Order: sequence, then structure tokens, then C-alpha cells
Amino acid sequence: MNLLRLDQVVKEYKNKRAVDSVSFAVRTGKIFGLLGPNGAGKTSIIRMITNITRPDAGNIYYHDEPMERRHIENIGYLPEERGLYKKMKVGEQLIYLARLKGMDKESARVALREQAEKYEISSWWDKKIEELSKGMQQKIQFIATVVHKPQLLILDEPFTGLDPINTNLIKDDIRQMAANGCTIIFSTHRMEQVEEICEDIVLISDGKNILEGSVRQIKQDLKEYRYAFSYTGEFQPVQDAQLHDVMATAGQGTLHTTSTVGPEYALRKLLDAGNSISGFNEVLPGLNEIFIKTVEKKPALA
Amino acid sequence: MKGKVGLIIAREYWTRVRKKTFLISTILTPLAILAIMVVSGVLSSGALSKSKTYLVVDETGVLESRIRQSDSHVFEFVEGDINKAKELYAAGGYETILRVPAMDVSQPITDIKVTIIGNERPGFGAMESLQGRLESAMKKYNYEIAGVDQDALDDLKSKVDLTIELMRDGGEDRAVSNSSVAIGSVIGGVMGFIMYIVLIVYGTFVMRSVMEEKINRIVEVVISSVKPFQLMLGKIVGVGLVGLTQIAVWLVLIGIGMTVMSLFFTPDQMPTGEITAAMAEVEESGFSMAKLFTDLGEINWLLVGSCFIVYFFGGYFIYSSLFAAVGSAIGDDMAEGQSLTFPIMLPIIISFMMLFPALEDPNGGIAVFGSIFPLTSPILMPARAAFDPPMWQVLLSIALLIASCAGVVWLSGKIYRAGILLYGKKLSLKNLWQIIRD
Repeated sequence: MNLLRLDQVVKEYKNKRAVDSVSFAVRTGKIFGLLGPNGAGKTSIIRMITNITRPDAGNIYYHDEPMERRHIENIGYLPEERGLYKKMKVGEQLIYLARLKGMDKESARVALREQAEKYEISSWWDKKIEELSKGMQQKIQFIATVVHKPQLLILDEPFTGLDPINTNLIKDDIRQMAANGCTIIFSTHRMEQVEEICEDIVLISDGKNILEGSVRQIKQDLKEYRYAFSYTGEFQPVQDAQLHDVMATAGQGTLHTTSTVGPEYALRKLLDAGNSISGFNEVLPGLNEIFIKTVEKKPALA
Repeated sequence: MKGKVGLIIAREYWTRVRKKTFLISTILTPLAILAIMVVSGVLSSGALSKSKTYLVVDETGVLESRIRQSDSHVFEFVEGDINKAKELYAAGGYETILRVPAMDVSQPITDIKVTIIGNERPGFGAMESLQGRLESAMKKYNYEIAGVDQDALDDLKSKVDLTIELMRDGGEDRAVSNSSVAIGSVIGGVMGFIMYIVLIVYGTFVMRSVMEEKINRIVEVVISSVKPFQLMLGKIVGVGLVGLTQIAVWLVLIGIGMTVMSLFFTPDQMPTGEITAAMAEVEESGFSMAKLFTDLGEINWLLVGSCFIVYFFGGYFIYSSLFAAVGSAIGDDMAEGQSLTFPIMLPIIISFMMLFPALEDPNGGIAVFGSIFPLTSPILMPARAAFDPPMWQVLLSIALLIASCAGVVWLSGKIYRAGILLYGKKLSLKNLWQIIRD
């Protein structure tokens, strides 16, 4: 089931189409990667989802209903350009932001105390934001984003400025929330993080949707029939019309096949040549690679 | 949604009111002003200045019986010539020597040169009061020589009371005396000045608050929960309430101050001498406390008060929303802000410059135009209200004020909505036009 669906969404800023007929769907309870190079239109898309701006054309559906203002209380949004009131105390500020999301004062206090325990920030409750380090402020921003238990969580580059420990803490939290049924849109250009946590992605470039699907499927679709193997003893060269770029040194090797044959064929040929193979596996392209190749190929598509 | 605007208002209000700077500017500043007024009042009343003794060598012989002696000014007449006086002066204890040269005293003394001799140059105030005392002593003498009876002269003095009768209000019932016109000017000036300060100070507060949210990068977090327009409105109302609180506190403090003053400075404890003399002179010119109160009663307080309230809100909303729009467009660049705030400051400053010509001639062209045109009326109409302007002008002005208030707030909301999300880009006039048209 889809929590969110964009249908031919367009956003124009004076003479420039920032978002050009983008359509994609986000499945309920999944972590969804919204990817694209800087300036591709990711933030423009997110601002339309969060009702900050309106599409110039096309529709956004939330739970199959046209997206309306009332839906935004179910959304938690951590913008890329984010900050806090520097002079306000941590506790006051968190309660204020939670109440803006529609929570009443008391339940906000209870929920925030709980989160504060979890992130070990209880002792900062009465400190002013300006007294905290940047990383601590990031934690508080994250708490403010999730405290009202949103159905849809939108995180725009959530890990910038966080140390590895806190990155993992928040990453675990994101996974935990997804497991509990929260749908998460994760916008970034850091591919290794996407590979780690996203199930589905959409790749936006120059305002257009140029690639969409599950991470596994995309990797399969774009695979280059590349294999890696390890061997013992002397390598015996293989001559075959279906195999090319066979390279082997010091017990490690790689090869490519044509798209007509599978891994069994390649392995059999290696063994038939008299090699003693100790390992064999398919090498799928990384998202980073896919990202760069797809974005660079784009002029040809257009 | 209403509740959210309430939350924003509450935050804007409480974060300001709890700040130390608010306490200082609201409570300590008026106390300091009060203290300065009391101190300077006491100082200038002469209560603290020591009494001064002057040596007088009077070769005309007319002064001794006629000069006004007082605690602060003692004149000691020297028997003998100037050298004797210099001797006495050298012994100490005297301010200066006054030397009045010999003259033909059978004629009135119309022109006389008095020399002040001493070690130190006397101050301007001292010279003034010496001159005054000498002149009035001479006048007394001249009257005697000319055979003029002082009391008879006083009886012949004529006093003219100007009273204004407005035909449009049905004549006599609404008669206005001329001193109430003066009071109207004072009230109008004070009203206009307060509006001027309110518009600039609180408008700037709103602008800074908008900029702060943009620079802090919290604005996008907030507008993912509320509409930008709600945020702007909440901010304007919140800051406006801070302003009202401040004015209310000041009124209370002024009330307390006046009560305290009246307790400590009852008339018999008033510094005697100069002040009572000055008071007597003022009374002579036809002014009295009782009259002040009847004149104050002649002012249409209902109109003045309600005008102030209507124009306070109208003017504040117009200008603070413009300031909010500018604040959203400026972003992090303060220097650029100067050039953008100037067009908004300009009509406020022009209104203020129109204030005095308008008070001088409250039904003249400047006053009528200024009190109807919506960008200047917030300052000029409250100022004019004490002069009982024609009702149609008041109603027209209020209608225009409300209409342009709605228009300006709507327009500013549009600019604000686009401005707060623009980073790094300047909001040029061309962009501005684009935004407004969208």
C-alpha cells in the first residue's frame, strides 16, 4: 500500500522548471531514498509534500486522498536548512515545537522526557540552545521531528554534522520506526547511507525522475555481468567467446560475461580450464556507481 | 489552526517580556527619567544653590529701597566708594561687586550701564537674574518719578479671552477656549510622538524577529507545522502585545510617580522664592490650575482615546507587516537591510515631519491630507484628534486605514512566504513583482 503518491507534479520558479512532471510512490512502512545531485529539485519536492509550497500542476496523494493541510500533523520534517531558537531553553523549545504539531502540553512533556532519556539529553533540559554543541543541537532537532510519532518522516540530509556514534543512534532509530510502521523519506546525496538503509529509491536529476524502484531490483537491472573469484595455485587462462576482460593476479580475479550467460557458465569455464576455484560471486554495481552513471547519461536520455 | 497562532503569539510575547532588556527598558528607564527629572527640578529650583551676596556701590542712590532682596540674592550696599567695596570683596564671602554709576536722577533712568567687578566671570543665569532685578528696581523708580501709580496701572490692564464657536457643532455648547487649543497641540504632539516611536521601535522588533528565524534556520521547521502567514501574524500580534504591555506599565508608573510627587512636593514644601514668584507671574497671565482642568475637560477625550487605539493597531499592522516582509527578504545581510528598510522608514519620518505644521494649522492642507492618507494617518490623525476634526474626515481616514491595512498585510504575507525560504539570493524588485503577481 502506498502512503504517498506523486502524480505528474510540476513546480516552476521564474522561467525554470525545478520539478518537471515527477511521479513516484512511497510504500507504507518502508524507508524510501529521495536521491539526486545538488540542485536537482529534492528540496522543492519535499516542500510540496510538506505543504510549504503548492505544486503548479499535478497532484500529491496521502493515503490515496489528495494531500491537504490537515495531513501535515502526521508528518515529521527535518529540513536540510535547520536550526533552533538560540536563546530558548531546550525543554521549552521542544514543547513549543511539539505543540505546533498539535500535541497538548502534557503529552508533549511526557513524550519528550522519554526521548530525552533515550538520547541522554535530560541534563540539558534547562540549558539554552546556544550553550550546546552543534551535534547536540542536531539530536534535539531530530527529537523535535519525531516526538509527535509521525506516520511519515521526511529527513533531508539528517546525518550532516553528526559524529559516527550519534549517526548510528539515529540510524537505528530510523530503522526501529520503520519497523513500527512509520514511513520514511530519506533525502541525500550520500549513497553509502542509502545503500545501508533504503529499500526503495527514486533518483531525481534536473527536476526529472530518471530512475525508480527497489534498491535490489535496480541493481539487478543495471548489473554489468561482472564476477569476482579467488583461486589457488597457478591461474589457467580461459578462452571463451562469452567471457571477456578476464584478469587474475595473486589468487584474486574478475571477469565479465555477455548478458546471455549466467554465473554457472562462467564458473564452469573457469573450472574446465583446470583452475582450482576457492570462491566465486557476482559483483553488483554500487548505488554510487549507478548514481554517477545515470546522472551523467541523462543528456542522452533527454 | 487558531490554537497554533495563539502558541506563536505566546512564544513571541513571553520570550520578550521575560528578557532582562525588557525589564530594563520598561521599568528602569522610566525610573531613571523620573529620577533625572526630580534631580534637575530640584537643582533648577535653586533649593540646592547657595545664597549669593552681592556688594553694590550705588552712586545713584535709588536702588537700595527698591531692589528685590531674596534668600538666593542678597544685595549689600556699600557706604563709600569702589575702593572700599574692593577691600570688602577681598575679605571674601561675596559673589561680585555691582557698580552703578552716578546719573542725573531727576529724570527717569532709561539707559544705564552697570559694571560687574569680581575675580570670576558670573554664569549666564546669574547675569540674567541680576539684570532682571536691576531693571525692575529701575522701573519702580521711573514710575515714581513720572508719577505713575503702580496699582492704578495694574487696574488698567486688559485681558482678552479668545473663545472659539464652531457653527457645525451647534454653537455655544461646544465653545472652545484658546488655552484648550494650546493643550490640544500638546496632546496632539504627544500622541503623534508616541505613535512615531511605536511604529519605528516595534516595527524594527518584528523585522529582527523575522530575520532571526531565517538566520537560525528554524523557519522551515516552523512552517512545516503552520502556514507562513500564521507565523507572520502571530509574530506581529505577539510583539504588538509586548508594546501594549510596555505602554501600560509606563502609564501605571507615571500614575505612581505623579502620586508620589504630589505627596512629597505639597505646595508649602515647594522651594520658595523663585518658583512661587514664577507661579504668581503665570497666574497673572490668566493661567490657573482650575482653568487647566476645565480646558482639559473640553478636549473630546472619547475621540482622542479611540483614535489613538484605532490608529495604534492600524498603523502598527501596516508598518510591522511591511517590516516583516523586508526582514524576510534581507536574510543574513544586514548591510543590504539598510537600503530595504529605508523606503519603509521614509513615510514614518515624513509623517513625523508633517506633525508640527499640522499642529500649527490643524485644518490646513498638510493636516487634512496627512490625517487621511493611510501611510501618514497613524501619526497625524491621533495628533489632530484633540482639535475635533470633521467627522467625515475621521471616518474616511479610518476606512482607508482599514482597507490599506488589509491590503498591506496580505501583500506582505506573500513577500514573507517567498522571502523566508530564499537563502543566498537577493530579493530584487523584479523578483518582488513576480512574487506579488503569483
